Parts: sequence; structure tokens; C-alpha cells
Amino acid sequence: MKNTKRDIFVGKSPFQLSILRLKRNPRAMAAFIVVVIFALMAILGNFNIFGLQDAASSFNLDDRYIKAFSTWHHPLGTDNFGRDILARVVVGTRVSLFLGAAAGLFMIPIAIVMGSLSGYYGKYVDDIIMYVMSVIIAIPGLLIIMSLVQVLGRTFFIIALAFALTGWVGLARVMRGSFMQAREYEYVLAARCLGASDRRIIFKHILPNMTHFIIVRFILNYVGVIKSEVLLAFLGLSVIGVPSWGNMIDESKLELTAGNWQNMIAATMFMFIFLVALNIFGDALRDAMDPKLKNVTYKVDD
Amino acid sequence: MVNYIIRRLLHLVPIILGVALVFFLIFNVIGGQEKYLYNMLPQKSRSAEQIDYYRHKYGLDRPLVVQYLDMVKQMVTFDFGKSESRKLPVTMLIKRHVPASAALTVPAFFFEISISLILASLAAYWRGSWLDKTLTVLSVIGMSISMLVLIMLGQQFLAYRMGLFPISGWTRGIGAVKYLLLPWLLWVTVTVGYDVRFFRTTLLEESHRDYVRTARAKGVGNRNIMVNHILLNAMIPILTYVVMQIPFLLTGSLLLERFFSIPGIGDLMVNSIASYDLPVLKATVMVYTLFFVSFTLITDILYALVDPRVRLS
Repeated sequence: MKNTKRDIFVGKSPFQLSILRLKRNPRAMAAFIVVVIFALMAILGNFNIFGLQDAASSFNLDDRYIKAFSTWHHPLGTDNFGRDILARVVVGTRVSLFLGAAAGLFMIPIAIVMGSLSGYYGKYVDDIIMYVMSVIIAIPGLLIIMSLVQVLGRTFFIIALAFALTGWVGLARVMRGSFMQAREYEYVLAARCLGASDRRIIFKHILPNMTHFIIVRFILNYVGVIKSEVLLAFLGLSVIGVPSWGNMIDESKLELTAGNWQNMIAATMFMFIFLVALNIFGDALRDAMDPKLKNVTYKVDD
Repeated sequence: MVNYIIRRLLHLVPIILGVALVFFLIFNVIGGQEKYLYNMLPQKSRSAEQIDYYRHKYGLDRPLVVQYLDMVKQMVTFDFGKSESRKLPVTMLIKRHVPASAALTVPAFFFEISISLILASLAAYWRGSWLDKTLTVLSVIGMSISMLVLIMLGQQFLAYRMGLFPISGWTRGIGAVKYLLLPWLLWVTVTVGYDVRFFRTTLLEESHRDYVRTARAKGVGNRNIMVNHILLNAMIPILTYVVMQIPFLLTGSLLLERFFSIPGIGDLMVNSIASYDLPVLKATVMVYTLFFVSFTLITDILYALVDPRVRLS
């Protein structure tokens, strides 16, 4: 019994091991499945399958404010303009999910470059980059995002970029610290003795050790972006002209007094389920990828 | 100590210059100004002359270096020019709006931190009990619901349907408390989840330290260890975290002031976005930033006072 258990670990890379740990955590796998379903929904929202886009955007003033679960035709009801809420919330998934992904993908390269340069080279490079980071930290992130979006326009690209420009600092700080430690290690010295260039040492030798920081930070950032999108929508600064969770919640603020809850309940429930899944999955991923817990197959937390 | 404070104050100078540069880049360089003026003007008067007139009025036709120095001057002297939509000096507007914001955020922040600290200590003390588990579940739920939704639900049910609180409004003086009760309650509900989670982890980390084992070996009681050893030593990470939460006060004040018609800075800011009032938007953004920067400075000095381990060099 003991032997078979050990065989599982033999010859596996740390990454494979963490996947293994993740697979043994039923809560994490359930959360992962939910996330995948949402991702599929976001991709589905791009196409006009089942007339999805039409139902989400075409006005039908005869069917205004149909309550949820009252007809099969509109399972989650309709809004002020008679648009189908279910279709809108599915299409809205696209904005939130792609925004989170795009913001993360813009953020990671900036953070990697800044963090690795300042941690690896130190000295005046470090001073300059630390100065930039402390200036950005000094300004509440929402303010930069707000001003940028207000000044440059409410397009998807600019909003994602604004999130990235404020979001990279957290990851870069973590990476700077790890690079400062890593450059003193023997394996880096060994690589340098073999004649490896700085670029090779940074990207081939040190950076792969930090994958788990990057992945975990990506997920945290994702949660943050999705929640901030609602705030931007409230300020009137979210993506213009398409349904998004934030826009739907924002629209519902005028409808509640009349008892029209459809918009808010649908968008909130979708967002809630996705964020809970993402939070659980992120926590599990952090535990699974933590190199300190090498041979633990699963971690009993709480 | 005096030396340390002076040095910290000197550190502030490049930070302020950098902050001014960021906003300068956003507002004056990236090309937002054209579009901004364009959007600000009503459709009829969008002529080239009008835009030139406003550009001259805001000093956007001067060399960039002069504009930048002007921005720095504005931040240091607190003189932000005149509001475009209200025809009043911006500084006066801000002065008028600060008390309401302070009355909303400062007590809310204080309640929230103390409540979550108490809850976290209880959860850490009885680790694994039903209380601990309930708090964990509630905090995950709290983290996954948008603040906007909670505010709308709270106002809808507690104020409008059940009539427990006034729906919205504001008076000067102490009478304002009755309008602030619900915003405070909502703020605490929204943020307590995050904080309990973090404080609990910090306290648990601290409880595995050597000095805790030593204290236990000496025969110090559990409760005594929790209060006198763990809580006091956890104060440094907790303080750091609390300072990091201050930017989120901005979100709170933006949303709550809007929904409960509290005439604060957040309300002013949202209005300035809606009416394309560039001087006011710039000013509110800078005031928030200055507030945050000075708060960070104060905590840094507090660290040095509280914790002898902080090096003063």
C-alpha cells in the first residue's frame, strides 16, 4: 500500500504533482467545471447561436417586464425593452470573462518584465522601477482606471488596458522579491558559469519557478476585474452598447421600486456562482501549487 | 525619531511629483483633452472657436512643461481653478463636500475594523468550531457579491419596504446620524468578509510562533496568550493591511454617497464624470490621492513608534 502511494510521485515534475493534488480535491474540481461552463458560455455569447444575440438586443415593447419563470419563451423574464434576460446574461458573460482574461494577459508581461528587471539587476534599475511602482501604488487604482476610461473612451480594449496598467504592481512586487532571492542561488551561479546570458537565466532558469505566483495572481486579478466592472458600469464607464453583468445590475437600480427584479437577480446570480467557483478554485490552486507542500496529496483546510 | 519623520516627509516630494505626472499624462498628454472638451460642450457650440476658447481657458495651449508645473502647483496649493458646470471655485466645492464624506467613511472604517478584528479573534480562538465555519462561508459569500447589489438590496428592503431607516437624505450637524446608520451598516456588511478572513489567517500564523509555545510552557492561559501575546504581535501585519484597505474607502464613498444622497466627495466625483467637469474631476482625484499618501505616511511613522523592530535608517 505504502509503495503504490509513493510510486505516484516518482518521476513527476512539480507542475504535474500540483495538477495531481488538484485532481484529488473534489471541491476544486467542481469549481473548475463551473468555470469551464462559464468559459463555454462566454464563447457561445460571441455567436448568434439559437438567435442569442438577437434575443439579447432586439426591442419588443409588447413584452416589457415579464416576470421570471412565468413563460417558457422567456425563462428569466424580460427587461424594460422586452429583451430576453437569459440571453442578455449569457451574452454579458462574454464581457466580464473576456475583460478579466484580457486584463490579466496585458498585466502579466508588464509585471514579468518590471519585476524580473528590478529584482535581477538591482541597483539603479531597481531604484527606478521601485519609484514607478510606489507612485502607482500611491494612487487608488480605481481613480486611474476611471480617469483613463473617461478620457480615452469606453471601449473594451481601453478598459482592459486600464485594469492592466494598475494591476501589474502587485505581481511585480512579489516577483521582484523572489528574483532577489533567486539570483543568489547556486543554480543561477551554475548557469552563469556555463556562460548563460542574463536573458537566458531570467527566462529559462528563474522564471519557471515562479509560475505559481503568476497563475494565482491571474485568478485574484480576475475576481477583482469582474467586481470592478460593476462599479465602472455604475459610474457609466463600462463597455458601451453591449449587455454586461455590470450594465444589467446598473439598469436594475431604477426598476427595483416597481418590483422588477429580473435584471438584478439574473446578473447577480451568474456573477455570484462564477466568483464563488473562481474563489474556491483559486484557493485550491494556491494550495496545490505551493512548493512547500511537496508530497501532500491534498490539503485539509479550515 | 525627528530625523526619521523629516526623511519620510522628504520621500513624499518625488511621490507627489510622480503622481502629478501620472495625472498629467492621463489628462493633458494622451489626447483626452480634445475629446473631453468636445464632449463637454453642448452639441450646438462644438465649433473650432469654442474648443480653442476652452483650451486657452484651461491653459492647454501652453508648453507641456508649463502645464505639468501648473499641475504640481495645483496639488501643492490646493487651488484647482473654477468648476465648469457650477461656476464656483473647486476648492470651495471640495471644502463643502469633505465633512459629509468624513462623517460617512471614518466611523464606518472604524466600526468595520473593530468588528472584524473581534470576529476574527473569536474564529481563531475557537478554530474549527461552528462559529469559525460559518464565518468562513459567509466571508466567501461576501467576497462574491458585488457591493452595488448589497447596497441596492439593503436600501430596497431595510429602508423602502420595511421603513427601518430613512431612504436617503442629509442634514447638517448631529442629525445626520440617522441618515448614516444604514450606509454604515451596509459598509460593514460588505467589507467584513474580506477582513475577517485575512485577520484570522494572520492570527493563526502568529499562533504557531515559538513565543506562543514558550508562553504556553510557562503556564500562561489560552485567553491570555490570545489577547496579550498573539493579538499584540499580529498588530503590524494588521496595520499594514488596514492601510491597504483605505483606497477601498473610495469605492464605498462613491457608491454609498450616490445611493443615499450624502453630499460628499464621492458624490461630487460621480457628478463631475457625468457632466464632463474636468477641473472638478481632476481635483477630486488628486484630493483622494493626497489623502491616501498622507495616510500612508502617518502609518509609517506610527510603525516606528509602535514597533521597536522597525529600523529608523
